[in-house]
Amino acid sequence: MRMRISIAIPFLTLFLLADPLSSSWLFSQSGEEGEEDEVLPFTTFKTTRLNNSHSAETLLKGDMDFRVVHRFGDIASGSGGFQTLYGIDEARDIRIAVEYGMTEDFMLGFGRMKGAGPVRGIYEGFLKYRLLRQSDAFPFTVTLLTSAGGSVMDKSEDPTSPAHFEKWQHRFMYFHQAMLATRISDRLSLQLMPSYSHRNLVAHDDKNSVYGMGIGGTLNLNKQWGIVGEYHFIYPRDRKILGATTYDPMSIGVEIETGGHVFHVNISNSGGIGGNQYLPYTISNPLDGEFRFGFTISRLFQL
Amino acid sequence: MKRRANAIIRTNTTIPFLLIALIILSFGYERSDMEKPEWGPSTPVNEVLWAIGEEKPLHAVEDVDPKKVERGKELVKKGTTEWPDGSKSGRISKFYTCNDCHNLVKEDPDLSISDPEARLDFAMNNDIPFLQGTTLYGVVNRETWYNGDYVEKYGELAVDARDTLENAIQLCATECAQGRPLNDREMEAMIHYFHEISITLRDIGIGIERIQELEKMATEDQRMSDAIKDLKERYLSGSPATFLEPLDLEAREMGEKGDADKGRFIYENSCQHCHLPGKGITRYTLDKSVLTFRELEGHFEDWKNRSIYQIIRYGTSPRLGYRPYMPHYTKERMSDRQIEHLAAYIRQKAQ
Repeated sequence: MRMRISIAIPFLTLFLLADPLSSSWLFSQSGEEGEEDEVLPFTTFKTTRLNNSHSAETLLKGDMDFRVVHRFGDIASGSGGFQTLYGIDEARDIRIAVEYGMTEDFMLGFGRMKGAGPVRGIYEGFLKYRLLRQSDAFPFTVTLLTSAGGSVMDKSEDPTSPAHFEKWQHRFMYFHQAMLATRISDRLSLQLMPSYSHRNLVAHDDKNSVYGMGIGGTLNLNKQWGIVGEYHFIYPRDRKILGATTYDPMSIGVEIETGGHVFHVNISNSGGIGGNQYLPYTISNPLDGEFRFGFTISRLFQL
Repeated sequence: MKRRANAIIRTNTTIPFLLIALIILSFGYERSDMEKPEWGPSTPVNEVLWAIGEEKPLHAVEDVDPKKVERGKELVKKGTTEWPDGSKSGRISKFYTCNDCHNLVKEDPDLSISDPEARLDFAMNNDIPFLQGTTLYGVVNRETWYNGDYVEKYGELAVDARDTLENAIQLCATECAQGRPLNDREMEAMIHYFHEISITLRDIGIGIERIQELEKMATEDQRMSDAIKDLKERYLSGSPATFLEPLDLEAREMGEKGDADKGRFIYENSCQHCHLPGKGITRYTLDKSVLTFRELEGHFEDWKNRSIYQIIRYGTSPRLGYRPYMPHYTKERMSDRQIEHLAAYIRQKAQ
């Protein structure tokens, strides 16, 4: 069993908070009345998420987002089919979270996930900062994300289990992601997202650190309806989890803007929600029918 | 003894005489000093009116305090301010600030009429927003607020708000902005700020010669009815408000005959004043993508909120769980012709 303890990593990225560079300066246009007449020229995506991954967008300052994310069971594998209404009977993972926009470019969030991998009961917090915003002068929006999570599940007595927490540090996991997004046209936005996940305790045939190179995007059919997709190429390639083969996470979904609120439905081969689950713990082969429905309900409050 | 008695008598008559003369002279001196105004084109009209005998309204402030003006300005533009003692006012509304719906500058070329066509031209020449609410510039010069059909919208609430500026502000803060009432300190600061942006003699076309005549009148300390009437006829004492129904389908030109250039200005300075992505005033954003224009054009014939013909005339209402709403445009704030200009621009961009 490989173990590595690294609880300091996410906090190193807190330097972002001290970064005096605000992306807004690039694009502010002071009107006759002064500073509040800032014009934001591009909105790359409709929400702060693609399907599994974050998008380069952040919440507006003062907005609180109450999010409920749900992943059902397999649609077409042995546990799916008509008997379970194509997985609707099962809740593979659930995330309930509150997120908040501290500034126009910095947001944070805290939530709890049921957990779909071998590690369950995960509390997770994240910080997200938009470094640069797409404009006529610069073609990309650049956003950084760092998150840390910890499991509160009972320690497993099985010494081969990734939940056999001998030390309290074993319960922690970290996820970092950079998002390079561009709005190519009114219809199409794309995002490249290198990711890094580190779990302090993993199974003997697993690796603590997992890297991903993701590509995702949205294709807007009209103002209300859009198609969202994403795919992550995972490294190392030959990784297994207690003998189970890992697969690259992929998903496709539909987002519907209903007068300002966005409803999201998707199909994904990853069971878990959140970077530390979909990146390292996707063991579902979509070719075997191991993909599932998911939806997101997001309610924005102005604080 | 006799001579001495005469002397006393002389003394007794001289001293009171001198005293009375002194009092009269000093009184006269004070008077002439107080009533020797030095007015110019930037002098507030209210200052002149009050000096020539017009009765002061309840909200009158003669000595505008620059510090209060600054606090009031922040309250109007940001909804919050920090006081000299370090305390901070909580936001009046978490949804809106005053300037989301009201300009703070002169928006009509001729202040004696409320003409949306002239106002749009003036707004385009001066690059100012074209909004639902009447400008707060000169709000202290008005004598009534929430006029005309606003009683239909606010019912009994509009009755008190019609006669005093303070009540009107409170109605605006609590109902229109879905916020809280102002406290005394905030109200005072805001009123001081509004006096800072009141109508001036220049705004109503009073030339130097007339200003000198008015100065002379003021020194005579008489109510100058004709002069007062002349000044007050040069601006509206209240903004008229006429509610209109959305145009019938047969009457809608669907953008075929409007002026798209004017429509673009309306889109950017009315619609996007609140709906611009990233502004945060509303979740329903309107960018300039072809998808947005097609969406708007696709609803031209509807009787729903997504039709510009309907939403401009009806707006929306606060509802349980979602209090922000869109105020509507009255006849005086956007004409049916101007809605056609907007439709023409949308139609052009949707191609």
